Amino acid sequence: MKILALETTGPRASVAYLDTETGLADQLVALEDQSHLQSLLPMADELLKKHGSSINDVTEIAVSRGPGSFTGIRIGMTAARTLAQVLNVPVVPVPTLETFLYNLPAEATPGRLICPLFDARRSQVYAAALEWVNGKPVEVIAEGAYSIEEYLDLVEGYLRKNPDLTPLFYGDGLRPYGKNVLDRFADAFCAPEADEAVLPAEDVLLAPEVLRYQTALSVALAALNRIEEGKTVSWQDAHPEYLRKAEAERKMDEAREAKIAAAAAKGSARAGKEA
Amino acid sequence: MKDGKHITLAFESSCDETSVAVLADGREVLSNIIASQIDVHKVFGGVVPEIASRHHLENVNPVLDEALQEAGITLDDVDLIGVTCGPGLVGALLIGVCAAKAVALAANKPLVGVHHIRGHISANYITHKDLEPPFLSLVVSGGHTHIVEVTDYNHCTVLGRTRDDAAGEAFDKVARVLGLGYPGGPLIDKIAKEGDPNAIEFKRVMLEKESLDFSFSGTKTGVLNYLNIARQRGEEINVADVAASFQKTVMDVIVTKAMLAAERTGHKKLALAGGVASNSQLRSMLQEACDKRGITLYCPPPILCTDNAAMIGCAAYYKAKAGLMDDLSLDANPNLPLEG
Repeated sequence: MKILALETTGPRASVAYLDTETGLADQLVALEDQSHLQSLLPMADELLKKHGSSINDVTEIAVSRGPGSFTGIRIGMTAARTLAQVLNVPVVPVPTLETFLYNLPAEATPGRLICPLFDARRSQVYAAALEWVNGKPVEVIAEGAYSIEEYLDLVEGYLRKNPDLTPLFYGDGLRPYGKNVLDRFADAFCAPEADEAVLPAEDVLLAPEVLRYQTALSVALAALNRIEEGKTVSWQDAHPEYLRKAEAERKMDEAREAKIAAAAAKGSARAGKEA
Repeated sequence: MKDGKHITLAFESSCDETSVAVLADGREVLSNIIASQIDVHKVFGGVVPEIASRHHLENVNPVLDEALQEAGITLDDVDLIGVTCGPGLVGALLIGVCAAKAVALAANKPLVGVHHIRGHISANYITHKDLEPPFLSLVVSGGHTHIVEVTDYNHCTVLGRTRDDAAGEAFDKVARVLGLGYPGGPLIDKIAKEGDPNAIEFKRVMLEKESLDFSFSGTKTGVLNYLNIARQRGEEINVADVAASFQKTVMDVIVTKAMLAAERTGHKKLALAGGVASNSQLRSMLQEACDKRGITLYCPPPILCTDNAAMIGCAAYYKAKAGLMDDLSLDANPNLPLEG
């Protein structure tokens, strides 16, 4: 397999190339934030050339399918769908939050619950929780748009049922909400026990800054697992996952619901009067 | 190459139409597939950028398939890829640009980014095989109102532009307050046929005497005020008369300025372009004015006036002929300037 992986859901785009025959795994990361459209395909071209390959050698296109920046998701997904369409190869759409299982090797994170969260604005995070179970990635808290407290409640609940696990948090959601995470879990996991040196809570609970964000190499590794499970699709079935409706749609839905609720209230008021 | 002809594959996604086209030798349309999102945006009363972008993503690949199929070619036959890279909605533009670049990379084809308005002007080359620069062009669309002097295939000078609303924008707004719906241009054009264009006197904004610029917000506000006052007085509003009078006011200004530009530059060829170029009243008024002055008026058919990729392919062809190529780092620029 020769997998070309695209990651454009975060602030910085990256491209990875994975060749299972030679064991090659390499990636290029954009030099600038928010230059996805400009940099993505030139990086893909450069990376392939660097390893004496061309785009025609690629056997699968892996793509980080979201959640994340709406625009970013679209750049990666459009590139993946179109490359796959022209090259006639399958696409492997990878849930972006799942890729955090691969930012550190599984062997380096035994007993850890992987908890990625993205700042989704409007006081929400796009988040999930995952762990390795018998060598397989398992999503134990479903990806979704949560309020930070809602999400931390879910994590706490899961940890209570699985006391051997220690959470490890990733993602740009730590910028606004890192303190919420530490406030919630520092005492439980970093309380000093008798004559034991204790690491600062942020070192225990938060992934190191350099490994904290999404990368194409993790997308490629997640894709490899998915390919082995037969989870490839044709470009027609590769779709983005925004986890949120467009603002205008949401407002229209809300207005519709308010109307229905008002009509129902009126109806029940009338019914009450008649009774 | 296909049958000895140069083949251009082109993409357009600057607003709410996803389009892919195939052209032979720059002016012959082999296919021009347009997936319109009008029905999607109608309920919102205008184009919602985020929703448009989401639909472009889903549409662009099937539309590409269809365009190749209808043209009876494969990507092997393609010599050039053209794409609108601005101006427009940035989230919408980048879908076309990204898809075009991915095809360029995967099929190893040269790439050219095209200015959307240059595309609209180029629609005239497709329709009128004998038309060559220099000429004067009047570009009227939902987002643009320009008088342009086209000096050669890749150069033009803007002689006049709108200082506020584009003509199409004013149409959309007026259509909305008249309760006609979206998009406003065709709806106003239709109902105006039943009204009296001289029933109501709306303000014609001509700006300074020598200026070729436009201003439509004053006329638009005039219509809104007229409607408010009539409603307050409880007078019945004749929608057809309002539409006809508003349309005539706008078109009067456009035609007057276009003729002023023709007089000043001495051009005897005027090419109409853009979505509003489909407006029947604009066409007939311009035709009359041009006939009086011995000016030849060029008009593309409605399918080439609306946003479409065929016009982009034509512009790309002439840009490539002049060696003005782009590479995989091509970016979308929502504010791409027309001149230069």
